[in-house]
Amino acid sequence: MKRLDTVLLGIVFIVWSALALMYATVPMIQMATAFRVWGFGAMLFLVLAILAAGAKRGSK
Amino acid sequence: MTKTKSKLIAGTRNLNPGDKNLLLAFFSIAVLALALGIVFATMTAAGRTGLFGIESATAYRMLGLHGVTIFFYWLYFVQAGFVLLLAAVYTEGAGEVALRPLAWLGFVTMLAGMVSSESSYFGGTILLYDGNPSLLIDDPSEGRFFYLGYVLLSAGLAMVATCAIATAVRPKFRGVIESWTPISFAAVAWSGLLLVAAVAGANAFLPPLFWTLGLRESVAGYAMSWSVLFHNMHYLPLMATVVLWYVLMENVTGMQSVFGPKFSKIVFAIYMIFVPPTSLYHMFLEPDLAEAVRVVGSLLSLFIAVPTILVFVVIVASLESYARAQGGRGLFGWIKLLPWRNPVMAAVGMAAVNMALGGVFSMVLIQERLAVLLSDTFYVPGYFHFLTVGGISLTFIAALIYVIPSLTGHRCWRPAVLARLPYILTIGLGLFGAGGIAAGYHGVPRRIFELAYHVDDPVEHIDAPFVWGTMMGVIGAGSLLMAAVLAIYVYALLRMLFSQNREIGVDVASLYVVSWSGSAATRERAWVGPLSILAMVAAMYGFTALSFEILQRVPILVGAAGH
Ligand code: HEM
Repeated sequence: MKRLDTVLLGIVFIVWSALALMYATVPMIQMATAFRVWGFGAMLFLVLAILAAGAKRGSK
Repeated sequence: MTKTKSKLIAGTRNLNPGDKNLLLAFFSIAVLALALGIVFATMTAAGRTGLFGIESATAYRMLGLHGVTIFFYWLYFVQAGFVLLLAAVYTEGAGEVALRPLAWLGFVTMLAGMVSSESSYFGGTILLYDGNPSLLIDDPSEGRFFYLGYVLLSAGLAMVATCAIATAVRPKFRGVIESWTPISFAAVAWSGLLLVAAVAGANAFLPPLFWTLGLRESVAGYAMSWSVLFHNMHYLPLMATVVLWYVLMENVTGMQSVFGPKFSKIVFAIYMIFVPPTSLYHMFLEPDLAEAVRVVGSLLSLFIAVPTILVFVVIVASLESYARAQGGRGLFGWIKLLPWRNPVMAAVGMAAVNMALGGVFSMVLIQERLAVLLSDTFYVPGYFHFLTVGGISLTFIAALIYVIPSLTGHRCWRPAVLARLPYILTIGLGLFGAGGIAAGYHGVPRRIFELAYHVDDPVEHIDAPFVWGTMMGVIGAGSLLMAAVLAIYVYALLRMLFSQNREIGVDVASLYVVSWSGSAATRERAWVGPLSILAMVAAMYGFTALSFEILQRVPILVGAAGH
């Protein structure tokens, strides 16, 4: 279950990063500056995934 | 009445006095914002329906105040309180809110934002809740306090969300727990999305704030920045609602998800995964959007309801399995075993019905061809009030009925009365929604208060259709009923916040519940969840087809505008 928290938040990071990149690089979508928001979100979920993995060994 | 071992009630009661005061501050301002929002809603509805002879200009200002107060401040103060509460109560080993001074700073910043936004209407701003800066071309300075309010709200929310994350993470770092419960996992994801919304808020509102202060020449790309923020703002309260359903159902029946905690976490994570890809449809009204993007956006937006539907199925299937293990019979007979006398159960039950109705009608608008025809009509407020009032706000109120007395130690005000209100609210919404949707098909515009028109063409005399007036009357009747019910709820919540009268009301832990915990029956049949989804999909399909049919018969000239 500890790994599940990290894996799920990590998947969110991957999906958000991919979409942020797409929004930034495909002009047809007309959402270039949305990159800032989704890109920030991707980084945030990466940090959360790392925090979720940070539990001390030997804990419940 | 059965005594319950509600984790929500017990955990909230066990919080330390400092945390209780913090949460009470958030919930008190939330209730105040709800009360103000209802007053402004009543005035708006009166303006639209000709009641009380309110002038159009006043009614328009009331519409602005209604949207801002209720959509931004009610929904975000109440979410701020709940995200902190759930992180503190449902994370094993947390016990208290982390970084409490930062949470207080967040509260003060959000409150300053609310004062700033509301006061902008007395300074003469003509903005509606979407803050379209093009309305300020003549005098940008009129929008200063409006945008400042939203920027402060975003900053405050970011602080609160940081505290909620810290609350959930701290026990992990202290080695007290290894993994989160599904609810604390959901609280972390919800806080993450709140932080993203705060950044989206800064991204959307800082440029117009600087413009109104004379610090920049113009504002470019507002429609897109707003639509990204607005997309997050759709998702956040929806996610909050289903998380609270999960919590409240556990507390009134003792059930646990029959699919197990892992699956619940996966479903909450799916919420996060679907947020960015489904954001495209807000751009449908942009005239130069490529056709391919429109089609892809339309397809992707079909997924928007998937996470909500999944949580709904998890909850209904679990309830059904537990109820059958208690002897519930028949396809629907088990539903009678649920504790409907409990005001929280009644509210959540009706919230689910209203969400389903709102969901069915909303699907029509993500068809890009129908969106263009209906987006500027009363169809839009007609359908989304099912979601905002009947689904989301009713769920928050239900949760407050449990939480406020647990924080104050006061009694739950007249539970028998409160248990009947959700049904009356739903009747009011039915009138408002049916009238509004029908009005939308007949072309009644949204946000326009002067409905009468007369074109004296030499060939043809055109008047506003007579039927418009009839439909606005139905909307007015529904509005009054909704306002009356919500006013009673506000009164009840105020009594629970401030009154120590022991004569009226019931100890919240003694509200009628059923205790099914431990009786999980994983092998019981549970058909109603999946069947209701099938029924919803059929209704969505049928209603969308009907909409195409109706609109093909209406001669319409389209001039698409923004949201
Ligand atoms: C007593 C309950 C309520 C009544 C009678 C009511 C009535 C109305 C009416 C008549 C409009 C104007 C429609 C138009 O002309 O476009 C409106 C707009 C709106 N309402 Fe409500 N409402 C209620 C509660 C709520 C709640 C609880 C929420 C959200 C949590 C909400 C959110 C909104 C929003 C976002 C708008 C659109 C504002 C705009 O277009 O600028 N309402 N409401």
